[in-house]
Amino acid sequence: MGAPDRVRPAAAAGALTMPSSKKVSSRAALEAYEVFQQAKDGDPMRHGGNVMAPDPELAMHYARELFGRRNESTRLWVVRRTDIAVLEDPDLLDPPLDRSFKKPGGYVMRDKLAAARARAGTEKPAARATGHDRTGGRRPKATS
Amino acid sequence: MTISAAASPAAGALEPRTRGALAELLFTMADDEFVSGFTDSEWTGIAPLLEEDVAISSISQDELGHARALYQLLVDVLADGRDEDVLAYDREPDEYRHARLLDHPRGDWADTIARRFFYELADEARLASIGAAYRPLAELVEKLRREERYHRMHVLAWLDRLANGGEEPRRRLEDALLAQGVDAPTVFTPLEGEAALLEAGILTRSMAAAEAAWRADLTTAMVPLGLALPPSIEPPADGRRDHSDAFDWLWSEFTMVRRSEDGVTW
Amino acid sequence: MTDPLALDPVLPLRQRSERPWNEEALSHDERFAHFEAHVTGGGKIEATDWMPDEYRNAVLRFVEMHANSELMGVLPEREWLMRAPTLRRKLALTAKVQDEVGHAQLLYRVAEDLGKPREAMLEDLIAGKTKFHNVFHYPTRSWGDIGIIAWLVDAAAIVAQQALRDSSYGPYARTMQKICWEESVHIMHGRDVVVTLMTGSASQRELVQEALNRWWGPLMQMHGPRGDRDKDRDLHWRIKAKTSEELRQEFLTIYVPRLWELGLVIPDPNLRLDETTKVWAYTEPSWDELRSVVTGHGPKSQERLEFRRMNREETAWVRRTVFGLQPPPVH
Repeated sequence: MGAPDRVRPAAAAGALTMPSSKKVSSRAALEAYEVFQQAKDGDPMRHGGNVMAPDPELAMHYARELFGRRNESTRLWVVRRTDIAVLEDPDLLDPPLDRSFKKPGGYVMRDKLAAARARAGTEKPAARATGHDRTGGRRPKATS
Repeated sequence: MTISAAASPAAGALEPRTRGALAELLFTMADDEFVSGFTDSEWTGIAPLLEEDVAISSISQDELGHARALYQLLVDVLADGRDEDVLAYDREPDEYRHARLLDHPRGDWADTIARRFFYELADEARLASIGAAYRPLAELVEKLRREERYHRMHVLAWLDRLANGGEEPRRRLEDALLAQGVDAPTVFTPLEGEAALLEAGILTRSMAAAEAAWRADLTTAMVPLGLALPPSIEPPADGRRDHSDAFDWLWSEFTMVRRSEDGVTW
Repeated sequence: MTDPLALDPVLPLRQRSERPWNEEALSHDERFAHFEAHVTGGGKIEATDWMPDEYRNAVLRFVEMHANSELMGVLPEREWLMRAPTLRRKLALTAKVQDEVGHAQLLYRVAEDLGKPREAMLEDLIAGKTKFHNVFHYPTRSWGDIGIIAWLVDAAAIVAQQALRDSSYGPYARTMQKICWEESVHIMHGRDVVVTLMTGSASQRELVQEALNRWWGPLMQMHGPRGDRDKDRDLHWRIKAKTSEELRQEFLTIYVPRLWELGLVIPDPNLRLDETTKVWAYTEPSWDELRSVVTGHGPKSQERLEFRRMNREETAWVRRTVFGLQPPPVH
């Protein structure tokens, strides 16, 4: 399968292409480190930006400056960019065949429910609790 | 200096002799942080790498923040109507009590790292000498020590990178350590009234004992890197007086706007 | 065994890929067309996308000038860092200048990921090959300047920056969101300095008025001359979203009343709001002055570039050794 070709290090694709003829030989000890930040306890890690650093220890110092000097984070992840594998392949992430059975939108029941109520001679219940399928729940009442 | 009778409960509870000695201690600590912070802040905008620029700027702001907190303690201890800005800014150059080590100008990056290395480790030894007897200081010191951890990490990371970064960084570092090493012990200049502070439990050990601890710390950091320790000399009695031309220039800068007009708010 | 991917060309590409400009099998023109449709339709581009040279170069130039401006913008205020008259002001000003360095870092990073190394950008800046905003070519003469700059220059900048938060180039848009948040604190600091002076002594108020007299001209020039919306390629590519005039009007609408309410006089007798159109009329700024200044002929242009050059020389040894950066070859 061709899939492994589509999973590539973030650094290789596009990050260092030269727009013009000016080739610059900065064979750097400096590398990019991506910084992920958790604002407060329980929050998800969010990508915030990146720093250049010669090694993981200084990368951590600089990440702290970027995302910690204002007491805005409870946790930081500092990752060397070349250690990140990127998946962007639409064949894997957005394959073309129908997969609606995996999502709520694949189960539209309005007409069927109406038919079932009609057969049973019942009305829609007035006050409804939200079900675990996320249907139901209160509608805003009209002014009485 | 005159100590007025009206002070905060904690300060008021102290014997006058102790209170005078405490004020002297606080001046040395506050002035050290103030001058160090000012000098380090000169790197803002011109450090060797942008990322490092932001880092050193944070460190200088921390130091100024520590100075401010220490001056605020002094306001209570002196209780003579001076606020923290008056204490920080409105003295003549020869009234400042910072260590001569901190009279050294910013210099190049190696000079700054050398000065910071000596000073950070000395400050750590000093903070570890503060006892529980004067609560406001003891509580502040707990916070200061937590913030200083980052400074220690940063300066040791740089000591290592310069020492191991090749011939040129190492040479520059060694030169800087040599030039500043002579003045490094001035952080431990004997304090006036130290005996009173020890008696009261505001200090748990003398400046001489703190200096010994500092040397042990220096050894742990420098020997593995093959760096020569500074000469083991007694800090001179005037180690916190008789400041240099470099400080005179700094003073004229930081007082410039304030001196332009009296009795106004900025 | 048949390679499953060999079947792909049979499927319509649009059906298979959400980012068709990245498809190497397509011709350049086809990729360009897909790219243009995506961007002009409000889509975002990431660092790893294929981009036509025109777009890549336009974004790079735009971001590079912005980064340069943040870096040079440090210098006028840096002089007064040492002179701040209270502990709180010193802390606030140091933090503000630090933020500007941080912004330079963020923006140079965005530009680096587009393909131009940082060292090359710094060399070009110092050599005068790339530009930075006009306001940073002028001197700061007093503490009054510090208040005026921190408030009004940052305000004019934030007006532009807010409009960039939806830039088509993803990394830049996200950086703008972070920068705008940080700049809002600077504006508050600046305004606080100005308002404190305006409630102080007569000579303190005079400091502010005098500073405003000198800074108003450059501020009015800052967003640039009026341009043709249809001809602006940066607007076409949605790198930016508003025209110079729109930004200038927005700035005037917010800040002129705030200056007037302090009793300050704005040194433009023609400055007036048309109550019906809600458009500000003003004396035409000197576009000649703007052009001259941004090409390096401002009062402080050469001195500040020289300062940067000297400083880079002094610190080059650190980059060469600890950071392993080789200086770019001289052209």
